[in-house]
Amino acid sequence: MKKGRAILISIVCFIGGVLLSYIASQYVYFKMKTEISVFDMSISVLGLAIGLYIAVTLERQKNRGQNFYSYVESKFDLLWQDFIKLSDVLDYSPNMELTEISKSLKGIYKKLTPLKTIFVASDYDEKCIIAIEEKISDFDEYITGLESNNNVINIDTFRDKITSKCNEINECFASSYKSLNHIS
Amino acid sequence: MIEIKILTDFTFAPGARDYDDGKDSGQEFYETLLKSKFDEALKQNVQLKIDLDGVEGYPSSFLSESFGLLGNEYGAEEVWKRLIIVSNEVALYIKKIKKYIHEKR
Amino acid sequence: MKSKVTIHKKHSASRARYQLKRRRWHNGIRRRKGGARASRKPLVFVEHPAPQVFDLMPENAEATIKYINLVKKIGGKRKGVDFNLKEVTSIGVGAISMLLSVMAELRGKGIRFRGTKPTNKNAKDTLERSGFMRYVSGKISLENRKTKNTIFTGKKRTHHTMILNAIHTSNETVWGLKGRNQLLYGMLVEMIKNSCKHAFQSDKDVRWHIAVNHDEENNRVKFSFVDNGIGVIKSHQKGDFFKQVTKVFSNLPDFIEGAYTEGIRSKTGLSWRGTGLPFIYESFDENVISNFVVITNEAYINFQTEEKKSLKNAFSGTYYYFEVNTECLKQCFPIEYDRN
Repeated sequence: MKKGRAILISIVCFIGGVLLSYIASQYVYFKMKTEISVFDMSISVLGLAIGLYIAVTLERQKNRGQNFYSYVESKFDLLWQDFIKLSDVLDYSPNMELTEISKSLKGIYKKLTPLKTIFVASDYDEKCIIAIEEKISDFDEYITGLESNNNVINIDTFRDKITSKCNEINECFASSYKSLNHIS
Repeated sequence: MIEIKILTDFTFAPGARDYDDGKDSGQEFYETLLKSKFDEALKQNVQLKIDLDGVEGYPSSFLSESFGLLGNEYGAEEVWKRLIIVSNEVALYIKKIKKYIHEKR
Repeated sequence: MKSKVTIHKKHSASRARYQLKRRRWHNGIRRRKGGARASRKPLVFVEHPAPQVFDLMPENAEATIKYINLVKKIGGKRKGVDFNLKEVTSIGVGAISMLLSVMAELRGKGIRFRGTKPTNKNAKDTLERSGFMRYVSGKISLENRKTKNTIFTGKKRTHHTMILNAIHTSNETVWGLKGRNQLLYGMLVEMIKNSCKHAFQSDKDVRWHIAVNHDEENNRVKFSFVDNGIGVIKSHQKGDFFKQVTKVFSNLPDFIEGAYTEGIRSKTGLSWRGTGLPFIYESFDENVISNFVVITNEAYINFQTEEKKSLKNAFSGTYYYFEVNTECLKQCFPIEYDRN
């Protein structure tokens, strides 16, 4: 019912637009031509049809972008929050279990893969996601390579390097967020 | 490694500072569990892992009393290097615990 | 009753007076035990209409607190209190919990109450939905009976787990999921313990009240905490003559603000204590709560709008108001334990 009503309104508006455009084309030198010109009528119809097509295409593209953005933004937000939690824990803790840090990083990495797939499927550039994946993978490698005692790393010893790596990843997330905004 | 999971080993709803404040206070936690586990970790020369997750929350006086007493008894640096604090829900608790351990009494 | 004392010339006048006094005292006891003859004087209910806008917004706080203080004064003279809320057009949950805290204090002294609900529909609905009517055995309209709102009262020995359901349901209103809010829990326990430890002269006087009001349309929960103790300022000055004197020269709202943002030295004199007030403020600083208001003694502070003012009508006690909404830091963790 709603759709039918919308179509009816569109048709009425289209006819109204054609009439308006035709009348405007007949108003020359402050006088109105009384003869009906088929050519002018056809130009009005064609012009309005092309305008309508352009508007509908642009609207569809915008909606597509917005829907994609809304979905991806919420997933991205959650991922970034997960990483911020991990970096806060690394920032404050004296010691941590190596397996726990690695598990958290791998968890975040895994969640990036479906996001990348969505980007590719929707014909958007997935460079920003790849950049984050690389940074996280690099950080995971660094952590696993650190000296540990019974699976426990003394974070205090490596705090500066760990903090700088976390900051790099946060910067990567931030610049990816910027690219996401361009999609919307 | 010696482990304490507060949710299962102590309470799901930590109280306030001391016995006068009621059940499950920081003082009770220190005297009934934390001190003995830390002693054990010291004897065996291993880490003490404390899992803070899963509970309703921690009033600051709970953390201040329990970890403040621990830091005062064994020395802040010794305690800090021996602890592994798991707090994935609220990382801020780790920062507060560090402050309370290092507080002079 | 005719006195049975007969004065013998041998007994002195003072002994006669003593015997008469004893006789009257015994009569008094029998009268009280008799029940029906307990008191011949009818209870006088003193009525005072509440202000039209009965809430604790900065522009209305003075009038509301003046009314609260008037109720305390009336109650103090051992009369009944008639709450006339008929003309009230707008009522705030904070003001309701403040009123309830005064009633709880006076009930302990044997004061009786009665009252009239507002005729204004919105005000009446707010009052009925707040949970207030449960404490005054009042009727609630059918449409206002189903509500998540609640007011609960505690004493010194009340277990802090009483607040858990309020926290879980607040998460349901704000985030759509019943769950734990660790930082909110810590803050509420801290408020309760501060009140129990410092606000009252004796443990048996301790009474605190927490009102929880759910605004489901806006995914927002309003909390207010009240105690009718001596307030933060008086608690800090207790027993210290110098502080009491210098109070005259100090800016009290600034002092209260400092007590929350920086802390004041604990009354125990121990340097590692005195963290209660700053921890309460921290929850606001970390965006766990919003719209944080404190009213205590002569000070009114709204930390959100940074509004501070000295009240002409001091509130003897401590009042906190704050909200949890979707703008706050999301703290909603699943409940992983089984209490049973």
